[in-house]
Amino acid sequence: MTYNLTALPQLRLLSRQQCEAIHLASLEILRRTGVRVHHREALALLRQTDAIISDETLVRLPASLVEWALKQAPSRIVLCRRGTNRAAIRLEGMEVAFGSGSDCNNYLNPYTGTHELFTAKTVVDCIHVVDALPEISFCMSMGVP
Amino acid sequence: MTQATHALPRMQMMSEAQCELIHQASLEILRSTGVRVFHRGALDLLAHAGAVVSDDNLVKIPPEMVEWALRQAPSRVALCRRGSSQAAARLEGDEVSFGTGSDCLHVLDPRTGLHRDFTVKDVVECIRLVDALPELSFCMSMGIPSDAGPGSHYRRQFALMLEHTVKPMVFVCNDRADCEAIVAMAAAVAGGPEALRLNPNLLLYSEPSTPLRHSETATDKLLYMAEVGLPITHSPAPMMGGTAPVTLAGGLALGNAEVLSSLVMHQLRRPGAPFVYAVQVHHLDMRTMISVYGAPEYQLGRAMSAEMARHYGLPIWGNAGMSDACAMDEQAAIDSAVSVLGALLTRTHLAHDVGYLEGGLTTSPEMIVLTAENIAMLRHFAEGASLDAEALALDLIHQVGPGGDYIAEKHTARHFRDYWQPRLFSRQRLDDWIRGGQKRLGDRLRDKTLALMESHQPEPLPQGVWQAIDDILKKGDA
Repeated sequence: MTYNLTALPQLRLLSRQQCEAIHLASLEILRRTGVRVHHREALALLRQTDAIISDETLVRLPASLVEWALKQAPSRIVLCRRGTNRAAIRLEGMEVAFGSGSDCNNYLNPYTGTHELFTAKTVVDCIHVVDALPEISFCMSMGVP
Repeated sequence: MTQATHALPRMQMMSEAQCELIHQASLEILRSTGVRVFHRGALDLLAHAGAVVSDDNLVKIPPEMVEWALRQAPSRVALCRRGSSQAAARLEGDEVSFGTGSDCLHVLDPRTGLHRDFTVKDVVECIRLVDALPELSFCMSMGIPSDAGPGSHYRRQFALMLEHTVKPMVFVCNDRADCEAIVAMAAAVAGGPEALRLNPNLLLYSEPSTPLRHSETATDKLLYMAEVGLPITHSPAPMMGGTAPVTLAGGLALGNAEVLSSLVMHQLRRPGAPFVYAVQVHHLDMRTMISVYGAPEYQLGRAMSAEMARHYGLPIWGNAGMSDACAMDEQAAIDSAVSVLGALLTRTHLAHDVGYLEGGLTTSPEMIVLTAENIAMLRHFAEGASLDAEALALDLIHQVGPGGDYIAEKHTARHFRDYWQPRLFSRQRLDDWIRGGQKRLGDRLRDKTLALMESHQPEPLPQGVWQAIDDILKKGDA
């Protein structure tokens, strides 16, 4: 007998069938209830498909259209290091990359321990921290200066 | 098509084939290397049953004996509320129950924030705290009181637990005489030995000696618990890099061989006696030379041990709510949350050590209360989510339509209380938090801990029963 000789902890929540149940429920929402699209160009795009548009902006999508779109999108994305072709993050398989968040008003200043409004300088300080930490792979703005 | 309408998070680490690989490795250790058994009665039992004994006490156990023992042991244990048949912790299926640890020298006093020696008063306060918190299902002694007086402190700790909590107790003790006295106290409360066997409110924690040794006193306790048909976890603690190979697989295979050889002796003494599985494999930190609790590898060890127990169909013993941190700080909070989540996702039936700091040398009442909050929160995670028609709410989504809102809907009124509400964690935004006095988690934790310690009154023991316990204690002191 051959064994897989690595034991890898994996968290399971939804079974394949349960994912499918959620998928089908969403298809039913798109078929029956539809979405409002308040964007002229997007409506024009949708008009060229099997989508049904009523009341100017109410768009109902048939399952075939959704499933076509799912087949078009690529299964992996690579984000590179600035100015190089070296992958910094591979959005694929078992890879997990961490990054900061965006657009906070408040900055908890570690020098003073108090909350203050973000400035351009403190946004730069935060970006430097992200750049320095090997555990953090990508950056979002963190603060609105 | 029918589909399960509930999504339940589960962690899986080893496949059935991988569990079997560890099992076979342990059988090979028992067949070719063997274990040292320093107990005459156990050696006789083993030799009589077909084990090969050489060099006085080196016992090599053939696989069929191990697999016989595995077939004898029961798949579940129920631990009961004091003096009642009501199960307080069911060691079965997806059930996870949490409890404290035993025998710390130091308490981290929440009133002063200082470490000091445990006293009887502290032990009583900690037991009452366990009794008060619904998230905790069983109690261990937590502290060794420095002012316990003469006699066995284990008996005194057990008497204190019997007096101050209705929850089941996991006890530790020195020897068979301690076991006998403790079981006698429990039987006095349960209404006799038969009632106690049917409705046990106690479980013994004891250990073989890694690597591959069964000491006389530990084996004595193991065989006694089998004789009286009361539950035991006889759990080795292989220290990887010290008493065990430095690798997890080796540590687990070694520890598993120790558990299996314990189980063989236990089941030979009384087939069908309740036995709870654990291998508390952990590593020696080569920088500090301490056993590490708050390590990712420690959590892997718990998951692998739990999966071996499930593979064998035995109830599972494990750990949660402990830290290497000395203070009740952020490190302690992180260790608590990670270990509680691990215990829940691996469906560890009994997870002990809630409240341990300093790697098990200090018990902190605040760590107990914080861990209770983590347990409440993470149970909501472990319970998963419904996917039935009511939860999917397709008609409602259609009725509200694009751009509507759900806040005034009856469906919202029916379900918004299903969300977990924290008692300790803050969900305020900055202005409200500043107006509320800028209290940090530690401030709120101390307030809640002191309030619980000062207000909770456990159900008293009947007067006549207390007299019987006191007599047993006095007999031990004499």
